[in-house]
Order: sequence, then C-alpha cells, then structure tokens
Amino acid sequence: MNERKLRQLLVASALDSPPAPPADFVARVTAATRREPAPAAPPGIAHQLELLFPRLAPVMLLVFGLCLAAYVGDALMPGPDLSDGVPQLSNQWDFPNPGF
Amino acid sequence: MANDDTELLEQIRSGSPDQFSELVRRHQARVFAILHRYERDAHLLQDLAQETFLKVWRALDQFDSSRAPFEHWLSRIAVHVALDHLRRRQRRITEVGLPQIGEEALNWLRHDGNGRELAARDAREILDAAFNHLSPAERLVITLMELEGRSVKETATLTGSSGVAVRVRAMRARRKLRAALARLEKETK
Repeated sequence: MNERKLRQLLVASALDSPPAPPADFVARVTAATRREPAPAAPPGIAHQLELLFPRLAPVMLLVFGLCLAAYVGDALMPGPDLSDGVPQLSNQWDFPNPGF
Repeated sequence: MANDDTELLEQIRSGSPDQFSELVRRHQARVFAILHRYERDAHLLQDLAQETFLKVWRALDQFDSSRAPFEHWLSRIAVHVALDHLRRRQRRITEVGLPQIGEEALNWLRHDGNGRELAARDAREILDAAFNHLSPAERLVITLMELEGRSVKETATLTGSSGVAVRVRAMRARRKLRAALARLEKETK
C-alpha cells in the first residue's frame, strides 16, 4: 500500500466517531458502584505532611530512630566516667611508697 | 472543570458517594471515545466503559490531584482497560479473513485509492483487519499516535512505558501494519 493510500486510511479511520453513551449508562455505573465498598475517607494529617514533604518524613523518622537507639544503647552500657579513678589516685597520694 | 473535578472527588471521598454519578456524567463521552478505538461492538463498548469507571471508583483513594488532572488519570485507566481487552481478545482470535471487510472497503482496497473516497466505517473495517496482525501493545501505540495524534511523551505517559519503548514499538507496529495492509490488498486483487 502506498503512503498516500495509507494516510487516507488512517485519516478516515480517525474520523470514525464513537456512539453516544446510552441514556441509562450513568445509572448502570452508579448501581454497580453501590455493590462496591465506598471510597476511603480523606487521608489524615500524617499523609498530608507526607505529601508536602515526601522525602523528609522518612529521613526524619530514620534520624529519630538512630538517636533513640544511641540513647538506649548508652543507657544500657554506660562507659567510664571521671570519678572512676579517684579512689586509686587518692590512695597514691595518701600512701606513697615507703621505700623500705 | 479540573477544579470542579477535584472538589467533586473530595466530596465523594468525604462521604458523598452519590456525587460519583456526576463524575461519570461529565466524563463518559471521553471514555467512550477512547475505548471506541479498540472495540466497535456497542454492548462490549459499554461493558468496557463501565469497567473503566469501576476501576476509577475502586482506586479513588489513591488518586492524587496534585500530580495530574483527573481526566489524565481517567484516560490512563481507560487505555489500560482497552489493552487488557485486546489481550483477552487476541487469545480468542485465530484467523481473520476478508469476510470481515464490507464490499465498499474491499473496492477501495482493490483500487489504488486515487480520488476514491473512503468512509470512516469502511476505513475502520480495513484497519481492524490489519490490526489483528499486531500485538495489543503495538495496536495501542499506533492508535494513540496515528489515529489520535498523540506525541511520544503523551503515549508513554498513557501506557506507562518509556519514550524509547514507545518509539521502538511504533516503528515495529508501522512496519507490521504496512505488511498486513499490503497482504490485504493482494488478497482482494
């Protein structure tokens, strides 16, 4: 088929107009939707925030989680503090080597 | 209309589901126009249009009006319903012969088309016969780009494909379409 004929075919086909929806189509669809669950209620504030800051919310949650984990870890495994060596130091001062 | 659609959607989601009928009324012609490219039988067309609106109803809570206008989202759903329909139909079609093409269309095919008019309905018959040699995805792309005049970008958005995939598919589809039409011409002579 030559190009001109193909073009004519495509143009003519594009002009094929659709039928009008039947008069009862809206009623049919409405009746069908009544057999389905209703759409969900609008999302809460958490979802609204996520829409506004789509990437920030999970990052904030991650940072908060890491901070919380560090705090809990620190509380469970306390490290040395300044007062730990005081008894040894004071012993050294009070009881110098007698040099017997 | 876009803002009205957004307000209407909010009303539906906020507890006024009956407003959905207004949404259907506003957009039914658009949905019929999209689906008509892929199905000419009136009853099947109505079934597909109903299926489209039911999919919209079920996915209303996922629609985000800040990302795209409602009519774009609706069009995309209609296109996917059409694609599913073509895939289901392809499994049933084994062979398409000339009897599906009317006499007027056959006459046009026989001649070189010089100055010969071609009615839209006859053109559809010929194209539909040729489209049976394309995959559903190829037919979809050709229909969107050649019959509806959509750009590669629009076609990619509607089909959920990349621009590259659309271009490749369109090239392949045009080649197959030409070959199928050439075969049809030959069979009529």
